[in-house]
Amino acid sequence: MTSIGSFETVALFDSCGGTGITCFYDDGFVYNLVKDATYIMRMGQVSGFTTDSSFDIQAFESLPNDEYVDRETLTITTANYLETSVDVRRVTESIDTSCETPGNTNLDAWYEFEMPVDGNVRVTGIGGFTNITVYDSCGGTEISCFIDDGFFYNLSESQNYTMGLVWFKCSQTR
Amino acid sequence: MNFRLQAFEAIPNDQCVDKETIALETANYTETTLDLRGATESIDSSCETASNVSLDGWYEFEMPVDGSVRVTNINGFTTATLYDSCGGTEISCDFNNTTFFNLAVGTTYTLRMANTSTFADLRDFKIRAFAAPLAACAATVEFIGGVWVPNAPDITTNVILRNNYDTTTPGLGSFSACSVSLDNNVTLSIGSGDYVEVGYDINVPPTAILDILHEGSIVQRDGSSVTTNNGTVRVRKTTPFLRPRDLMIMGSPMDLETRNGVYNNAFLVLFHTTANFVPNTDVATMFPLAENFMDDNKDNWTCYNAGPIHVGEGYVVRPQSGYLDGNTTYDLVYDEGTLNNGDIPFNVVFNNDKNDSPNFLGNPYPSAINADDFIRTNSMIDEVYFWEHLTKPSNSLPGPISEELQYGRFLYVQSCGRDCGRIRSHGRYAARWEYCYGARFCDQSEYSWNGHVYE
Repeated sequence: MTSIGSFETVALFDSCGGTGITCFYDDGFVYNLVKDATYIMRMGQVSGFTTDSSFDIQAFESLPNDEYVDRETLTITTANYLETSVDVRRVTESIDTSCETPGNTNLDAWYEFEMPVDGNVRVTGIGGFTNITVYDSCGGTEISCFIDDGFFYNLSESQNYTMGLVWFKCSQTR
Repeated sequence: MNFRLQAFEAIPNDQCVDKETIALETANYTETTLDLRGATESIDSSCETASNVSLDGWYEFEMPVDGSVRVTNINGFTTATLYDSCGGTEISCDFNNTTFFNLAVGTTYTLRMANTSTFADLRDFKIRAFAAPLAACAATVEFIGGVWVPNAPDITTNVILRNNYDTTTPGLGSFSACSVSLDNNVTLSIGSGDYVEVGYDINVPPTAILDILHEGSIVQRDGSSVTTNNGTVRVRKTTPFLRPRDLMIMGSPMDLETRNGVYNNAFLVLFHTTANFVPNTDVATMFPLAENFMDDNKDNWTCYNAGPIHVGEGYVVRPQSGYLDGNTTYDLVYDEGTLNNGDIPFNVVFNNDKNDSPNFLGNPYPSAINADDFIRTNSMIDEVYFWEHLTKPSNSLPGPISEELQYGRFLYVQSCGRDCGRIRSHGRYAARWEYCYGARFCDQSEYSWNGHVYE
């Protein structure tokens, strides 16, 4: 939901008089909603700041690689860039990485790739609110994390190490 | 959002202990592939910003001669650093193309090439050794019957030209020689982009011609050597396309050139008196971020209707025949005296600060010169300014001069100072130069003053 003022609140319930699902000020997301389910939404304004207001609301289908167990496999090469599209409006936050601010909601999508050589991986096309993190395995140790474009250094070709598959997490501060 | 990934194989010389050996030559540049996308950062050199990630590759070479090493074909985001050994003492560090001086024959040096990670790319750099002092002239070769006899010359051989030699003739081209002597009735023509490199003297007898065409170069490595001109020596320059009232700043590569010689058809020549220059306050007010080359009362420029073109001096020249002439190029021929060589004394005037002390110089040599080396060699010079016409003359621009010589029409192109590459990489120039013409000159791998004219 966007175009929500900072003195406006959005609250979502599973039914009239039912359980509250979430509540937030300003623009935001409501996560993990179920297809065909009906939800009740309450719009509120602080009485001292009431005004005519309009807002935008849009649904986003969950990405299949929202959780690291459902990671998408990428085949990267040394010959050319592999270009990949991701819509992080369709994902939720899994964990925080070392280069993120824990108080932010960092929506993340998950991938895996196998290093074709010993060397580096360069990531480009990343905006300043996006960070990339590489792990040695699913749920394993973070190797490196950076914001915006950059390199991961000293990655190993798969057959040389037991952790030949390298993971990274793509997230975006909402 | 789309993002891109690519893997880069680790370069074998990523660490100093794994440095790659370069076979350094004096005859030619050695070209070496540099792809730092597969490298990591080892250390920071003294000319790098520590907070940047500088990906580096390591090399070593043995000096084949006493002298210097020049590294070229690198850009402003690349540094070349020379060490006496792995983990040893840094000898020199610089951005862009650079020269390391005073290296000793037989000594092995360690070279670190580094690129800021954001701008890491595939780039081949070139490296070459230059002997200093020069080797003695060892043998003599002749150009006769259209071929070199007994072999092609190099910097150690005397050359006698028995026939005409044109560097633009297929199969001939530029050459190096220890000395050059022309036979009578022989013409040596050096075409655009070509050069003749001579260790010592050049002899042009009475009926011979040494003809250096537009943007050709001739260089004498020994600063005390001379070109004996008993025949014809001429250096040609073709101006860019000039509109009416367009002007240039020019100097002479010949030691006895005169106002009414090369510029005989030019309707206006001015010389500059830096001691009279006071920055114009109206210009400073209107363009507070621009460099200010406008005087308070225009007494810094004086009409120069006759007299010698002083070596090293830069003159404002309008080669047109009058204010209405233009929309063409102009061919200029410098042919009075002989070629300049060696150190050229020039009295750089300093008033109170850099802003009120512009000095106008002209390249005094019959060759391109390198602005980086020029700045490094002359400690009193911090920056070199180039400029081009920006707009037509306008009375709406501030300054004491009437429309026909309104300096507001000029475009001040950014300077290439001692740490040009470093400053530019931080983006400060864009903010500093109101009329900055982009990075046209600083983006060039060479800041050559090609020919004898500052545009």
